[in-house]
Amino acid sequence: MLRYRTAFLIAALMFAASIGADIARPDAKAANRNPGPLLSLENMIPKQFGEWREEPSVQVVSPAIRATLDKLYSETLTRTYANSLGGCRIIKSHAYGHDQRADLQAHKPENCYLYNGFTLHKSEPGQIVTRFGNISVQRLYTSRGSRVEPVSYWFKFGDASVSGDEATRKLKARLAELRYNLTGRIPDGLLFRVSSIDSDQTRANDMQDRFINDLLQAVSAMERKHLTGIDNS
Amino acid sequence: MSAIVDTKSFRGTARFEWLPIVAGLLILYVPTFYDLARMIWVRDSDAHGPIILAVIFWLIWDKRSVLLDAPVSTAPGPGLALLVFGLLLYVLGRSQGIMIFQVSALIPIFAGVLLAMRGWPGLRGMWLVLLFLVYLVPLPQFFEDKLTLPLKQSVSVIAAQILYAAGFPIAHEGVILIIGQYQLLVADACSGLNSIFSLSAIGLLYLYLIRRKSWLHNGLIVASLLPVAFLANVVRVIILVLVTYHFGDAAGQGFIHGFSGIVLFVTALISILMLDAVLARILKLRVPAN
Repeated sequence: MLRYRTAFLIAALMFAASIGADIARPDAKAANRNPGPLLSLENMIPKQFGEWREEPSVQVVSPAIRATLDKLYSETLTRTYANSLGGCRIIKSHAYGHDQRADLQAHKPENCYLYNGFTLHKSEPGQIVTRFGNISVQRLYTSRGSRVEPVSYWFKFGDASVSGDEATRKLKARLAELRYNLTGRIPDGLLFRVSSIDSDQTRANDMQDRFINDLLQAVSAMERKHLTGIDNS
Repeated sequence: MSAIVDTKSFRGTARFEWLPIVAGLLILYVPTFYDLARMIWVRDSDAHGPIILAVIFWLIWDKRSVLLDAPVSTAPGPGLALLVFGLLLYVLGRSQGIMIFQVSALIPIFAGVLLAMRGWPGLRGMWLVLLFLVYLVPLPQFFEDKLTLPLKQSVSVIAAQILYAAGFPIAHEGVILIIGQYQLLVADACSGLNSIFSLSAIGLLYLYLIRRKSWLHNGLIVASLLPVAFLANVVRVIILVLVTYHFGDAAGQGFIHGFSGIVLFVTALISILMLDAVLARILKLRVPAN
């Protein structure tokens, strides 16, 4: 009858694990309980700021890809900005996943470019220095035919407005990142990507950094936090 | 005579011994599999999930004597340790919504239960079930990202080259195939990653059922599973490109697209069956010669 005892011990452990998982599960309604203002990328990002102005552009995204994007993200925004001083153009694109249960998938811009027939020459981590803090970004160098397109992007993982001490927030961010790496899902996150068509990568990255700096100055502290995760309100 | 009666009555009680464990497993995994069916199995890359699950149930049924007969030995120490590890993985996966952890936890949990209740012989008896549990684990995204693209690219390149050699006006740019006035994006599903997994699972099951004695034979079949899946996928892409070229976009995207998946499967299966038959002949010829 020793085995009966083992069997009941196993079952007890399993029940405990089931209850433990339920207790450890973050409250799905946490975001709804403290909703804050509804953020719309369309309204949040000004059409004109600093030396930048939105340029009406032909939608380069095909309807099929559009449908996929709508499925992946709750909101996407792609705009082309022109610099009023020089002829430089920046293509900016955001994707925002809002609902954890909606099975959002954020595919890496690396793959996005490769899928569209681009060659990826380089992908390396970098930093954008802003007066509000540094943003860790990934810098890509891509080309298709004669079109050379350096890219900078970052992901903002998780809900930056989550309360709690530094360690808790860091742990939550780590878990969000782990979840993203394993499943490709972002619970509440944002992909921010800027690119320009320029064969000089350094010059392109400098312009992109300037663009980001100008943008972050033009938006409110709360919006800045939403876009970058940098909290200095 | 009395020995037989004893075994029978033991089997009767042995069933009850599994009751609490089955109840525990149901409580842990009914919600997980509900989520799996809703979120993961609907994806192209994991569409083989329900079949694998059915195979697992069948394999357990096939080997039920391992569970129902009296244990030769038990190993409660290692078994419980493995079980606790699996349960911790489950708690992490379930609470954080990480499906990979939830499902892969089933492997140490099942192995731990077997060890604790039926010892190492029990674990050996169920090795194929444990292997098939691996197939149940959804592929990690980074892994999928890493494999999908090179596979897609090589499938596109080879399909384009074959069609070009056959005289079709085809070009490819990355994973976009351009034939005539049509542009075809080779989708993720066309990488063949999903078919590679389901085909290798089915190949393994086939080998298990056929029970060929020759390890050389089995080894050659296992080694051929991946190339066969890859080539079948090239055939599938070529069929789709030709259908689009001759009958238009609607035909290529419609019924034929789903149907080509079945073509792929049938092509691959027939190739494997033929290879098995050929190998059986060759190896049989060789044995008497030696």
